[in-house]
Amino acid sequence: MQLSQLGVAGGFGLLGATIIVNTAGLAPVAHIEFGPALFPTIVGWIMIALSGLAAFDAVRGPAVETPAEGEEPAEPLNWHRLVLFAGFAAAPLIYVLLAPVLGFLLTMPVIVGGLAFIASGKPVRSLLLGVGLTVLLHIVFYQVLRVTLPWGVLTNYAGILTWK
Amino acid sequence: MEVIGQAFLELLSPQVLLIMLGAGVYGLTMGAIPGLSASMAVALVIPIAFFLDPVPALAGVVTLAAMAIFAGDLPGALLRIPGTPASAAYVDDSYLMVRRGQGGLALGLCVICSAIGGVVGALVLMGAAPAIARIALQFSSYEKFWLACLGLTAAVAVSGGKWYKGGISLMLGLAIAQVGLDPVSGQMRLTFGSRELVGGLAFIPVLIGMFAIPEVLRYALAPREIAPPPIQALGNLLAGVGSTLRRLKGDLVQGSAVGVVIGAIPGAGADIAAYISYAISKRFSKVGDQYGKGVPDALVAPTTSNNAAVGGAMIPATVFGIPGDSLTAIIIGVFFLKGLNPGPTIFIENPLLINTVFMAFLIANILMVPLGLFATSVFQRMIRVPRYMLMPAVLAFCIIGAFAVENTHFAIVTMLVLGLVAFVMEKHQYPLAPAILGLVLGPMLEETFLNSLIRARGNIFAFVERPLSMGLAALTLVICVAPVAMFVWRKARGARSA
Repeated sequence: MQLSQLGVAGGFGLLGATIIVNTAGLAPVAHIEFGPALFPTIVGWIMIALSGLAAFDAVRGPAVETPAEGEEPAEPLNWHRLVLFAGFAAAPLIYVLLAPVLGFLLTMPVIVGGLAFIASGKPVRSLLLGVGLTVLLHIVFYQVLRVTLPWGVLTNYAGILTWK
Repeated sequence: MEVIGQAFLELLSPQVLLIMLGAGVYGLTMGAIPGLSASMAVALVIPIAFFLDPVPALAGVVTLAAMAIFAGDLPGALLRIPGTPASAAYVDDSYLMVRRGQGGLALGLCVICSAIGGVVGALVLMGAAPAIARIALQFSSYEKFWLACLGLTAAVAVSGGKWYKGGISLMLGLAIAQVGLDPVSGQMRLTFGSRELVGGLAFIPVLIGMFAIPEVLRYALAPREIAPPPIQALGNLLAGVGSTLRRLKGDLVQGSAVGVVIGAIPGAGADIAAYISYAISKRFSKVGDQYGKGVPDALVAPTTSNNAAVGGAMIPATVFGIPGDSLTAIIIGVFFLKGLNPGPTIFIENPLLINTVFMAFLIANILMVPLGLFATSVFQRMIRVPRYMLMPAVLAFCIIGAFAVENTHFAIVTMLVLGLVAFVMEKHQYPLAPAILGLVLGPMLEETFLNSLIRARGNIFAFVERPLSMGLAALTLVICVAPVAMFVWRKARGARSA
């Protein structure tokens, strides 16, 4: 039995069921026989059926999966990789939490520089990358494309730190 | 012809030319870096395209797509790591040629054949698309429904691996497309009470999440730097190319034809075209037994084919609104973002714009020769950018790209969640392309399905009453049933032998 494959198949089956349940309560439209729930219900049932097949295959499969042809066997995980993975996965959330407070110009160097430092252990290069990339992105998106990036604590300096 | 002339003039504006040049350089850079796919390169640039006018945005995106597919050949030849899956078929040959001191010829062939394949694809696109569109105007909602079904089932069938995993991926894409207001009654579906979901899941954060985030997370789990080979002189990149192509002109024709045809089949992309072309060339070559050992004969057909496939894939995308692969699905997404509806009516409502896009694609493939030769000569320095610098930069681009279009932090969360889902799917051999095609085609499929049902007053036989819809339905059914039948047959055979 392949537990992780079974878990993923189960997740998709659950999603199919959620789609059916969530749309079942939609009110039918007057004079139209086929309401807004019809198409999602079909999608939900097909997803459940296919997930069932995937689960069946996972239950019958060998416990240890052999890597596909051309695929390198997975290397054992270590702490450095786990921290790096967690860092990359959490970085967007950290941005969402910090950017409204600290602003883009302070948050992005922390994220980019921090990730580069965890990956390489080279502080100077990581800092230069974080600052340089942040300035470049700020010029392209804020100054040229007029995207309203958050200023946070730097709001009072917004007029000084832009050229327009 | 008058429209084509006007389209050409549209492209001569400095802004458009500058954007095409910039997109070309970006596409060459991203395609050349191993592990970064052409789809991801296009997905990351969409937030910028969003802020541009339709002509420069679409011209830039098609230029980028053409360049990225070619650029995948460069790391294949120098590192034995194909930059994009489309270059995987002949990676051994190009790499061994470089090792043997024939690097100039190998890379020269890649540049010139890619450009020829791309130009043929663009010319076929310009000639065939308007003609097919005139026929497609006669299609009713039944034919449109079956065409969408055909595209989606073909995408699942050729996605590789287990067919039901492709099916699940497709259903996920269709489910994502249903989030938000229902198109018939305007009721909220699958929003779970969230205000942010009322407008549906935004296309750009979903795309960036599904194509870029898994690449970044894969690196995080295996953060190895690729050891760059010592810089070596490649010599004159065009020396010997002319005589080789004169000798192998049959392969050029075969590669172009296979590329356009395979590219036009929904779901089959440039990589499948390259593999098929390589196999045909090997079968009929006098030195077929040398393929895989570094012969120039092995490069011509597949490297022509993968670029011709991009033009081929644009045919169903622009004529029917049905993308041929995930790369074209993203390009179609840009059409929608710019308020344009791909389909036969675009040739009537916006003939200048669609012809400008085609012309931009043609010029991009011609530009590939000088830009490609330049990129080839500087590439050996380019691949020295360490991945510990590249991947945080890609993630920063993802975050700002997702935020830029929606102007809400919820878009960043959407990107992350979809990225994690895509990462788990890839880890468990679920293909992502069907999900993207489902996302793009979902609204059209539902709309044509409901319209047809309402027109037929619930009579499902009306779906197959017209000869063309019956033919399309039969083809869809064959594609659906074939893998199921094979699955059952294999299981039965396995049970018998056990």
